[in-house]
Amino acid sequence: MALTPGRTVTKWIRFVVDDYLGAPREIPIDSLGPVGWTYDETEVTAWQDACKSYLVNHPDVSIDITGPLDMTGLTALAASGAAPTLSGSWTVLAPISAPTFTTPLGLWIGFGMRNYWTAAQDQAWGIVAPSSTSGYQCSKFVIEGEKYSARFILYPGSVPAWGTAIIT
Amino acid sequence: MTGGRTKHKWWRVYVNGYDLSGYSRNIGPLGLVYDEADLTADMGDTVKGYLRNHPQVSPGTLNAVFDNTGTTGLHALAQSVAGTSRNVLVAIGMRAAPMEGDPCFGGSFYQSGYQIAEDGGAVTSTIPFTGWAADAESLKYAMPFGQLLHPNVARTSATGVNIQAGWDNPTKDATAKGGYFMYQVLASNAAGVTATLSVDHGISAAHVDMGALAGATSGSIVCVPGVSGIVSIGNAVPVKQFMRWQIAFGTATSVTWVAAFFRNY
Repeated sequence: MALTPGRTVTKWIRFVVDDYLGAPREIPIDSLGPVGWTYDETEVTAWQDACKSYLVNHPDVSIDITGPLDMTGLTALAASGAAPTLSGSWTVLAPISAPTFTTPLGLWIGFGMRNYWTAAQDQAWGIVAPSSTSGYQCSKFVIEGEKYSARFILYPGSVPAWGTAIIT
Repeated sequence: MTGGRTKHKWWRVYVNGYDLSGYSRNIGPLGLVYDEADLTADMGDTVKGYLRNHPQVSPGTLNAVFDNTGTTGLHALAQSVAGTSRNVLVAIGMRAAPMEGDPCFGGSFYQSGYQIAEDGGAVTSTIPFTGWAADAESLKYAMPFGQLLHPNVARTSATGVNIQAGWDNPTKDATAKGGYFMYQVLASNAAGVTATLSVDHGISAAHVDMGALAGATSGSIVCVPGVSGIVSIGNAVPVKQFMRWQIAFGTATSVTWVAAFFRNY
């Protein structure tokens, strides 16, 4: 697919999270909170300084989404450059939000550039290779009317990253 | 069970053995929200990390139109015993009235109020619920998202036990972490009659592969409107992929009931 750098719109964003057996599934979303690094700012200003000064501390990378409640069955993830294939939001999120489910999850957000997200050219955020000590956890699953909201927090010690690879 | 998306109009609400759907406008948010404990090791970690702690589980608030129908009406149920725990089941039909396998939300919650208010000229009722009731049948589970086992339908002794095919788990596999069974009796042929409501599971949907899920049974209960219960099975009990409802008639000849199973993952 031809490289299409530049700007884009939300219709080309893809949101993928592991199901409870560890397979990545794309689910429908209609809003996405800020994605990326949000650092704590520690002020270290001395009276003698000309202006306020800061250091940055640990970043927070929690992610909030909302979308339509959907009971579609589990569906294989679409490949790079292909149209999304969606699994149901309920089908994926209900099991991974169970209190007894504690496995860190792979999570991936792809930002397609005016086209279907394509590996090695379009940006993506997340943890594409989770392990027993690295990944996200679903800390909220709430249903209200026809929509759901969910939140994902980072497992301690994990480090997500920007990249151009698809989750596997 | 149908896949896809749905509208709020296909939701149904059952509370303590009463169908309140005819009065209800909405209920929610249906929530499972965890406390997040910050476990970042400042000197060792690159990014802030968290673990989930206790979740808050609640059906939110039931908003309904005020109705003083006797015995089974919203006012009759809600005003007299506000401040007690309720078995709440919200069935989410998929573009049709809820049917077997459709998603649902349920558990035992305290009713924390009952208020009548004006809304644009209409007289309405508001019934808020707390988080999980501390006197619930089981505190072993906090998984309020399950599947509807039996829709709001009457079953008769003339038809007998269920020999229909089962329905598939939405995730298409078996689990090994137990779950809980909720039943609500909405009507019967007479006062004082009995039946046993229970859960079958199987390795396929076929009738011949279906059998009782041990422990997931109401036992013999008196079937009158207002009877409901939650029965939990062990946290490590295997639950097969396919499920269906089951009934054994005692002295009852007709029982109208709803039920759900909340499979744990």
